[in-house]
Amino acid sequence: MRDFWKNALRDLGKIGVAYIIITVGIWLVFMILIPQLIMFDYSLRPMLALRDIGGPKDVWTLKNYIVFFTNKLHMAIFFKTIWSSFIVTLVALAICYPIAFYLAKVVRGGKVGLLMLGLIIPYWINELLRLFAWQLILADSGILNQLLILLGIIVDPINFRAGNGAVILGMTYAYILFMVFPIYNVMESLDRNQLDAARDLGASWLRIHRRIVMPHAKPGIAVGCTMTFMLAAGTVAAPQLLGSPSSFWFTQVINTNFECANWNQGAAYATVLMLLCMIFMFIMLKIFKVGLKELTQ
Amino acid sequence: MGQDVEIADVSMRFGDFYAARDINVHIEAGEFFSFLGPSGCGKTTLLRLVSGFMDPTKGQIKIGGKDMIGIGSNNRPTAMIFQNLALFPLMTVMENIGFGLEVRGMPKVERIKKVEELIELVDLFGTGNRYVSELSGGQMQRVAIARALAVNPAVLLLDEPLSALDLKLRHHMRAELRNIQRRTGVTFIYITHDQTEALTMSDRVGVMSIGKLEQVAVPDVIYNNPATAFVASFVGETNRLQGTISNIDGEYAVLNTASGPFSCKNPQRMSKGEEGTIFIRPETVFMTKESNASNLLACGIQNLSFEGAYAVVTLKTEQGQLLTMRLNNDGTAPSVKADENVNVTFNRENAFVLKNGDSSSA
Repeated sequence: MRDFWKNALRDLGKIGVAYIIITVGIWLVFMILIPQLIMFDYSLRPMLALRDIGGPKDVWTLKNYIVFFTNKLHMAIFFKTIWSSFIVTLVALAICYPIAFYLAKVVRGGKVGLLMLGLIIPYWINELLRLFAWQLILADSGILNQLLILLGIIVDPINFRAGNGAVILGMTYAYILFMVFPIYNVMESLDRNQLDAARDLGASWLRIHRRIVMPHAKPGIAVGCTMTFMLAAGTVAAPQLLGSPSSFWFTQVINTNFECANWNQGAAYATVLMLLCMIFMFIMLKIFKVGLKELTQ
Repeated sequence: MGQDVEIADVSMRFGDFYAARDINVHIEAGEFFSFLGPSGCGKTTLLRLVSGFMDPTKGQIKIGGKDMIGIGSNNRPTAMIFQNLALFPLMTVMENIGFGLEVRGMPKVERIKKVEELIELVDLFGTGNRYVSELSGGQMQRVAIARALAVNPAVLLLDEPLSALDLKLRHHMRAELRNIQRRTGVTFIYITHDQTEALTMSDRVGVMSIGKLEQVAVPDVIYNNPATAFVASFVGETNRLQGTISNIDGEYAVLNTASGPFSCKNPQRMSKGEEGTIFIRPETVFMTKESNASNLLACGIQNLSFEGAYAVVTLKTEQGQLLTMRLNNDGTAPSVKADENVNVTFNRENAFVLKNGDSSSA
């Protein structure tokens, strides 16, 4: 550690080191530590009228958490959110793994840039607008229903937004990039000769992926899955715009709490969701046997 | 056991560029065959064609008499050792060597036995459970060899596998490779730009330049009787004198050059009036006191470089032509000093005239 500071001082000078300490400090304290602590504090206090805040009733309690764990409906919504986010992650992985492999190891030369651009272009548009576009595509009189009717596959339009399918579809679409890029990055560093060598030794493509490509891409897959899962579990836009009015998502429950001025209940729910995401991340790390250090590379 | 490889009329084109053009060569079963040439001459392309990573634009490749076109690298009786070895970094030495066997569905117990045999063959005791990143360069080399041999290939393809090693290790691995080849009887096709490597290890050498196979012969024929100007200048050190043939005398020809007329062998049966280059190896140039000897060159000594077993003498003729002469340090060569004037000569049996090739820029 001493060496670290000594080297930093030599390489960056006093001003450089001070700048880094201050900026990293501000980021850590004001963007991460304080907001989380405030929210955690909120979640441990009862909802009170303004005049009672700071009074004898303002004490720390687990009441907000107990409300969550005893509310069967909210618990069900919570598990549905986990389950759906999990499905979004799996579907995104299934779509992105081949795309990333194709971009990293199959396409050569300038085409990669063009294809990358194709992937990025939709992200030039705001997420809300992209979800609106899906709303239009999936609407009763939307393009998809019209096409299916025209082709004679269906007679009456399908209500795509009835279940959770539309939300899962929208989320998968919205977060595909977050899955593609981490996987693409690690796959790019894979030596093509290793694929050739495995092939030369008689391996089928399936085995090459199982034994060579996937083990190499593990850190990228872990990052992609973690990010996609967190984004899916934490978004409010997709369920709001694409979900059916009768089917709530956990983020919407949190949102409603805040809108109804019960910030304390909302904070407790948000903390629960954050804990879930952390648990998911650590499970991913365990499954893929990668360390936090590799994850951030 | 090894199988023969027949490369017939093979051409490989990438766009307008021919990486290989009309290649014809028959490599015998159990032979150690090297393709020698500068980088970009198409030798790696040829190797990849034999291994099945791609199919030629034109022509046929047969291994053991069986047509290989359309058969992928995973189904050919070949195994390749890559220039960068391409070992699997996330597998142990044992897993690396056993990969080809695992692919073939060999039961684990049997597999371990076979891998242990190979570890013994390539002298890698005690490294089986290590990861390849923990090995030295020479050990990695051995893992690559063992991994390729594990699948019992009929033909082993080697793409400059020794180029990353230091000189001493390289010498050692050359002998080792040759040894393994003799013991296993597998056909070896070796790619290299290092002539010493090709000449010392191979049964036969094929010299390539820009997609063309210039000559296929045993090493001493390649060195002593190069078929083309490219081979003569690429393999070994050589002196060159350009001129026009003024007379033909049976096997020999006389060339008029800027430094006078010289007599030499005429292997390409060139005729009078043709332009060509005389090639003379530095070790066949010697000093003479006779002032009326044939093939005489009056020179000044420009530079002397003592290399231990021999000295390299740089000579300059009166016409400004530079020549190299090699004096063996065996006590027979007269001592010389820089700036001294000497007469040098060469026997006509040791020099040969060849057509000026369009690719003699080695």
